[in-house]
Amino acid sequence: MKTTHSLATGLFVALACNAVAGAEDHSDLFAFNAFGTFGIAHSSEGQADFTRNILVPHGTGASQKWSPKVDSVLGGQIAVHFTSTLSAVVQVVSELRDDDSYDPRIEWANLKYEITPDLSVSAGRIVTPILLFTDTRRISYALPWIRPPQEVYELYPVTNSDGVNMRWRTRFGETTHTLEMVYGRSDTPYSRNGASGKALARHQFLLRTLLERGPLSFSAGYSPSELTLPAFAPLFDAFRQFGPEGQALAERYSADHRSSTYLGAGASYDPGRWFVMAEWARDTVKGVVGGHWGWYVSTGLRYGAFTPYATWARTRPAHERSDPGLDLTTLPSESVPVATALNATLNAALANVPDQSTLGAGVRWDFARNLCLKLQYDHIDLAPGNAGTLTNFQPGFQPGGKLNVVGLSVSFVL
Amino acid sequence: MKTAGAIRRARLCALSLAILLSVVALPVTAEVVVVVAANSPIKQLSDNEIADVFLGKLTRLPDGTSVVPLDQAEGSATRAGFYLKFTGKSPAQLKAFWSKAIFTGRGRPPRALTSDAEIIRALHENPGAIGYVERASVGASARILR
Repeated sequence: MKTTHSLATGLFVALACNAVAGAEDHSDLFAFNAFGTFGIAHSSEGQADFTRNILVPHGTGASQKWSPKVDSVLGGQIAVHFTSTLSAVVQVVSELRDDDSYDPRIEWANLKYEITPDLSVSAGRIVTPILLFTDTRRISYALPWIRPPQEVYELYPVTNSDGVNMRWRTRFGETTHTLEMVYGRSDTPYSRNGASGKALARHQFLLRTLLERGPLSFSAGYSPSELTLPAFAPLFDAFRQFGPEGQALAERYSADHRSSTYLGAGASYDPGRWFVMAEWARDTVKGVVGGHWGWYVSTGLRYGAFTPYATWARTRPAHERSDPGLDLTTLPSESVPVATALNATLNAALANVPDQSTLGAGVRWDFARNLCLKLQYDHIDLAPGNAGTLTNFQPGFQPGGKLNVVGLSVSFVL
Repeated sequence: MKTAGAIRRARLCALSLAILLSVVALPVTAEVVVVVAANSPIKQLSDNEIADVFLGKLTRLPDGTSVVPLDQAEGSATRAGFYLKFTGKSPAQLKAFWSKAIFTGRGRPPRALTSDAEIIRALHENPGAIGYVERASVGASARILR
């Protein structure tokens, strides 16, 4: 409760500052901005947790009936404009982390130089844009929903990279084209079902193209990288003890410097009174991690201060995966129990790819300037035998069921 | 006493209605026009180009002229009317749009001034400046683009 309390205090302080900050004047050397959401969520599944993302151990369900952990976040940002072309920015975010704390983390910190108003380069910790909302997923005020559809957005949970970025904007008639390129690396800590570690992305390259014409936007992104999950090393070291057969399995499934490719494409049409958008994503990771497909469609209507919306989202594994593993018949009897356990662990990891769909509906209410309230209901349908994006499984948890998640949140920007 | 109670109730009712309307209804605006300095090199812009200039997507015209948009203050009826007409966005949608830009380092909203007179004055400081004011505020020193 202490962490929840400090988050609430932070939110209050940020709101109290509303009167003095937020207005951005171009003559200012410093610009301070903040965003935040305080939300509570409830899940009908009491034997597992529905979480904020696939990096954290707890959420709503088994650990708390109504939890602030799923949607609450507080972010602050200071930008320094040294000259009209040189600026620096630091953004600090407090949200639920892998260690169950809300300890603030530097989300990005970089120096930007504008070669021309349409061409800029940045270096430091930079945003990794790939889908329409990858880099703005925490700013619920800027989203139609409380949180972006997990079926697509949790395929790519990384939001920053330590490296360089180039952004180039061109115009053809009334169409604006923005090309972004990133090269960098990232270390993403996670903790799920008692297994924790870091996902290490190296030689992370990202290319994203965004076309905008009036209310129409089209985005496509491509990001190859080299992914290492050190937590899997002991499993494959154990396989390697089993001669050439075990070594072959370790080579095939190891999570050490494996090629990982992410593709995403999306379109949105937003003339003001209503909107419709759809996105599609695919990730392919060599080795034990495997690959997924994900897509969603979402639409909403704006009636004055109220925006009711509905979303349908789906994710499924790119391949059904299992492996017979080590051949137990050729092993000496004393090795069979260990080999059986290794085979079971490998197959559990291979099958651990979310397969679920969500039908959601909600309403946004812009009840005051820079503040909005959202109420959202999601019906999640897990594929038979699959646990989807849930975690913190309790002994009574049965994968493959259906669950409902209700969320209520207040968000602000300043 | 009954009458006093009824009046109180009516007042309360009117107050709640006013609060409700202020939340739901858009402010009623006088005619908003897009202006540049009388001697500005900017000759004409389409509605979409005007929208893109104020949304930070268009900074230089095809002839090379740099355009600098000037905003009205947040919360002003002129501002709400202008953005609704040219971008289809309500003040909340506009705030959401700029939040995305600010928190990803993609841009900053235009410089905001507090009155029509200030905007007309500022047009003369920069030949590429473009603003929007109420039609009644436009004098000989400014030219109406749209």
